[in-house]
Amino acid sequence: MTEQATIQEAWTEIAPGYDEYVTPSNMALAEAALQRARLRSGMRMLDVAAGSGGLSIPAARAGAQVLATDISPAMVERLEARAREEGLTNLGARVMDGQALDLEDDTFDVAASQFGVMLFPDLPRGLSEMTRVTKPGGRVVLVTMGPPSEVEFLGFFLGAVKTAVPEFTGLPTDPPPLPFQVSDPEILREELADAGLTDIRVETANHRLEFESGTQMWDWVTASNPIGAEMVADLTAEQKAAAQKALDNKLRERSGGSGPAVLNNSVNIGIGTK
Amino acid sequence: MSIQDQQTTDARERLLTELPVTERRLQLAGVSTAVLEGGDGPPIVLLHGPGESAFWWMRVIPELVTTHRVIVPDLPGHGTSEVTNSTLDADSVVTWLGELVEQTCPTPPTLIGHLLGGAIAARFASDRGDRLQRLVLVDALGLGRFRPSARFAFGLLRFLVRPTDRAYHRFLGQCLFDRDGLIEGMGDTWEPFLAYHLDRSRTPSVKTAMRTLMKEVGMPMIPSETLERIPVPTTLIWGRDDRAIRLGVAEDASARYGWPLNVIDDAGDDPKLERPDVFLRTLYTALETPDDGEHGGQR
Repeated sequence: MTEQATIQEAWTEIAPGYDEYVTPSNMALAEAALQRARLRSGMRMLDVAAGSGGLSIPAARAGAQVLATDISPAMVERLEARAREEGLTNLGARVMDGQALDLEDDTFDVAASQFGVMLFPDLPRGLSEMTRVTKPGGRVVLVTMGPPSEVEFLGFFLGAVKTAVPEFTGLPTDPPPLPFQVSDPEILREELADAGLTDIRVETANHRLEFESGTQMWDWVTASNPIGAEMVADLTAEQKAAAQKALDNKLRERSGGSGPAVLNNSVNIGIGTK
Repeated sequence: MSIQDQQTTDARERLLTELPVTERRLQLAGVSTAVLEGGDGPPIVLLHGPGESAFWWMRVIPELVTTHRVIVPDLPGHGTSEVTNSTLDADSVVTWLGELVEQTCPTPPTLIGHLLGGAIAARFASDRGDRLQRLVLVDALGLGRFRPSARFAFGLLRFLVRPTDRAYHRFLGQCLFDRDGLIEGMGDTWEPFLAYHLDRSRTPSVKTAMRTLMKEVGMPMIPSETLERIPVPTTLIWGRDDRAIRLGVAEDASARYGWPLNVIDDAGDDPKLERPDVFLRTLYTALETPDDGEHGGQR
C-alpha cells in the first residue's frame, strides 16, 4: 500500500465520526483564526487538509471564495454536503494530496490549514506547497495543537485510559507524535520561516471544547485524527468501557454535575506573509 | 527473582548459547556495560538501535567472528547495561564509546552503527576519528530529519503507548520488509528473541534510556560541518524499503559527503537482521575496499 493510500484509508475510516463530532467543535476557533489572518469577503482562500469543513465553512460564511482540499474522498463528500445544506455556492471541494497540490502558483490570497497540515509526516513539503500557491503578499495560516501539557482533553483522555489500563505509558515525546510536531510555538515559527514566509506571527489561542459524557469525548478523540484512534486500537471492549467510565467521572468533576464539562486547550495560530 | 525476571534471564541465556561470544561487564563512563566479544582479527564494534540490544546483531556475528574480533555492547540503559552514574546525552555517550574502544580494541576498529547506534557512531567518528579505522552507517539516524511513513508512525505510536505482544508484532511489520520471513529464518531463536526484547521494552529504566538517547542523540540532525569532519573512510548500507529513515536520506548524504551507498533490496530498516547474507557480503566488500587516501566526507 502506498503512503498516500495508507493516509487516505486512515482518514476515510474516521471520516463519519470526524464530521459528526469534530468539525462542529472546530468552527469557533476557525473564525478566530480567520479574523487574525484578516480574511475578507471576496478573497480567494485555499483550505488544505480541510476535513469536512471546520475551517472552510466559516470562511465561506464570511464571503470568501473557498477551495477546500482533502486527501480523503469521504471527507470531501461530507464537506460538500455541508456546503449544500448551507447554500454556500462559494465553496468548492476537491480530493487532493496536500503535499502535491494540483494548483497553479500564486493563486490564493490566503492558504490555510487547521489541524491538518500539522499532521503531515513531511510538514515542510506541505507548507512549501501552501506557500507556492499563495499570491505574493498573501498569507499562509496554520492552526496547530499547542503543547500537550496545555491541552486538557489530552490529559483527561490519557488519564482515563491509564486508569483502565495501568501499563498504558502515554504519548512519547521524542519524536512527538505528529499532532504535536509543531506544538512548540518557536518550532512552528521556524517551519513557517523555512517555507520562505515573512512577517511571521505565532499567537496562542484557546480551543474551548464541551463534552456531555465520557462516550462523547471518547468518540471525539478517536475521530479527531488517525493517531487518536491508533493510541487505543488495541484496547478490549472491557478496557474501553472502563476508560469511558473514568472519563465520565472526570467530566462530572469538572462540570460540577450540571451541564457540559468545559475543557480548555492551547492552540497555536501561525501566520506568515509570502 | 520474579518469574518474569527469570524468564527474561532464561531468554537471554538461550540467545547467548547461539552465539560464539563471551559476555563481560565493563564500567564505562558511568555505565555498567554488558559487552559481547568473540573472534580474532581486526577489531570491529557493532552498535544497535533504540530499544534494542546486542542481540540485534546476532544473525551476522557468527560470520564476523571468523574474520574479526567482534565487540558488541548493549547501549547505555539498553539490554542489561545500566546507567549508574552518568547523564545521557551526546557528549556522555561519545565518552562512553571512547572508553569502550580504549578497553576492548588494541588497534583502531571499524565502527558500525545501526539506527541510534549510527547516530552515535557518526558523532564519535567526527570527534575522535583518529581512533577509528573505518565507519559504516546502517540505516542511521541523525543524517536527515526523521520523517517516517505514516504507517511506521502509527505502528511506533501504538507500541510506545502500550508495548503489548500484538503491538510489537505489528510494529516489527513496519520495521521489516518481510517480518514473517524473518521469523521463519530465525527458527527456534525467534521466541526467546521476542520475549527478551518485549520485556526490555516494558522495563521503565530501558524506556527512559531509550527516550533520552533518542531525544539527545537520535532525533537531532547532526550538523553538516560535524559530518564533514569525519576523517575515516565511511560507507552507507541501507534497506531499500526503510519506512523509518527513508532511502532518500542516505542518497542525500552520499551525494553530499561522497560516502559510497550500498542499497539492500527486500529489506526494511534492519538489513543485517532481515538479509544477513547479503548484508555480510556488502559489508565485506566495503571493508576490503582499499583506502584511497581521501578520507571522510569532504568532496
